[in-house]
Amino acid sequence: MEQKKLVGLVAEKLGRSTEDVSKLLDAFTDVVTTRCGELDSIAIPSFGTFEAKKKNERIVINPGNGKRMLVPPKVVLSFKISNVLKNKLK
Amino acid sequence: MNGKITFPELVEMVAQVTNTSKRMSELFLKELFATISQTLIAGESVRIKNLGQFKVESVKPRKSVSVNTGQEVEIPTHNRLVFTPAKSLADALNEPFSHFDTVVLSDDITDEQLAAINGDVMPEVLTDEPLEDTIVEPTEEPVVEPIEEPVVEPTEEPVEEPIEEPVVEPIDEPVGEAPAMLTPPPFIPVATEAPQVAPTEPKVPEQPADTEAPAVTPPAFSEPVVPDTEVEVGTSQVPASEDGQETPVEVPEPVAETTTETTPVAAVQTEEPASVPPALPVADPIATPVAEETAAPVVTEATPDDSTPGFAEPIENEEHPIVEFERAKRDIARKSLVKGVAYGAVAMLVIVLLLWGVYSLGAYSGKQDAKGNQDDQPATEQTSAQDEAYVEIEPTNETSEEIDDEFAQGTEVQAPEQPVENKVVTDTCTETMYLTRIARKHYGNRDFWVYIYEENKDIIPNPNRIKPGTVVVIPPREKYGIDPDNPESVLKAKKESTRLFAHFMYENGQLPKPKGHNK
Repeated sequence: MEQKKLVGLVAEKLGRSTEDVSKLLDAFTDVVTTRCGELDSIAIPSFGTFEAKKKNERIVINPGNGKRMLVPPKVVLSFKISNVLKNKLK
Repeated sequence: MNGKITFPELVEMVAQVTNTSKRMSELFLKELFATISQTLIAGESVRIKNLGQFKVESVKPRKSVSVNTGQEVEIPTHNRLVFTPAKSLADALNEPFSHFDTVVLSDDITDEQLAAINGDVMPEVLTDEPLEDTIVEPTEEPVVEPIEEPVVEPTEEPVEEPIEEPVVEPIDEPVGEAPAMLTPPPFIPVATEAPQVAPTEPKVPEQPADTEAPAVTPPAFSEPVVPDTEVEVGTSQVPASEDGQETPVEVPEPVAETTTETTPVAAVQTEEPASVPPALPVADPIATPVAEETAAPVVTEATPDDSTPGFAEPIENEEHPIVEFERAKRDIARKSLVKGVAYGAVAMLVIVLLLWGVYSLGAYSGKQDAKGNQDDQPATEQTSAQDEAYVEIEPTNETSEEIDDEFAQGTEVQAPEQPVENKVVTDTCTETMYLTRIARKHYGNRDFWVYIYEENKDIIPNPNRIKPGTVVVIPPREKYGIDPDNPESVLKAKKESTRLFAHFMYENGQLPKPKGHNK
């Protein structure tokens, strides 16, 4: 399902215009971006948790040619599904 | 940082961003995730722009071993939710590290290089070529420093107006040069008596002049910034030099004085410092020193009042009162003479200083050319030494500035009116002074070397390979927002330096170009 359809569905259920809903959705992604950028985690009940994790730099060896490479540190966004939703998905 | 944001907090944030009521945003968020959940349960994936994609994947049944019982267990088929963050979101989160690239480590990589890649150590690699700078300096110093002492005033008194021009000029030059020479000592342990004496010498003559003959000196000093700052340098460095041995120092000085005096004078007269022939000095030196020494003692006895203040300072600084006494005598003589000549001399001084400014400018540029052309000419050591001294006049300004900071305890700043801040601050790279060290000296943090490099890009092809003797411009702090107390500013500089370092590593072929790190 693409964003447009999702927004349409939510707007219909809430009885609001799609513009309002898509504004709210953008606001939500903004919040996720900024707060996870600060390595915070955002928990949404019965859905899951968005969490930014910092991965340390590490040295890997290319199995093809045996060269050692230094992989820089980075921040990745992880999502952990809540048990409620997980059980529903089974 | 690492805080957990609960649902109510999230509701509030979204409400704030959109300027809607909390209730509205709570309703929306609940409905949103309910809808997403339903869609996912229905087996459909959901993609949200700028956030990512939620996708349900089915996992095939597989066998496993129960940890508790050790029995084989079959994990039944089930569905699993996979979230893939959108590219824009991932990039935004990774922004702090986005400038890093995966780097292939060669087997012979050193720890230093590794550390540098990590941003811990800045590249302080320097050229291997030994430059003459360090070697030459010690020899130059004895020649240059003493000039101020004897030359200036003593000669003035007997023959007032006609001689003044040539006589006065030396004041500035030596003042500028001596400190320039002085800068190396802290870093070059080898430098022995010569450099150490220097600081004490210039101090003696100039300070008393300031304090005791205010009528004369102030006007002269206010105009040229250079002399004042230099005096401070000299004084401020005194404590450091005292530790060293000053006993043997005295002997070389007088000798040096005679030789040196002449050279500057000669240079002034010819107006071509580059071509100053070493032969010229021989004639003059003998005359001037004699004159001074005779004049000095006579005057001292005549004016005993002046002697007390004059003595106080030198004695404190030096361990050999006899030598000091001699010096003090001379100073006093000079001072009194100055008083006499002062009123006539002031006007001349101003003119002379102006002339000298023009002259030194010309000399500076001329020297640089000459320096570049000169290869190895041991025979013309003196001239080359002088050249270097001239070339280094500029660096002294800033060195004095920062030395002031470091040794604030020394004498108080004598001339607060000096417009040094407006001047372009420069420094000279030597074998022991790299950009990082210069940065630490000027900004208090070596990480800011990148800005010095930025400022001097066109004369520094590679910050890892700077030719000793390169004069770099130190940009003012405001230009790049340099603030060692601000962690953000430091971090910014570090980032920049990492980038630069990587850039030059690749350029040198020390490291191959990184392949795109995709993950």
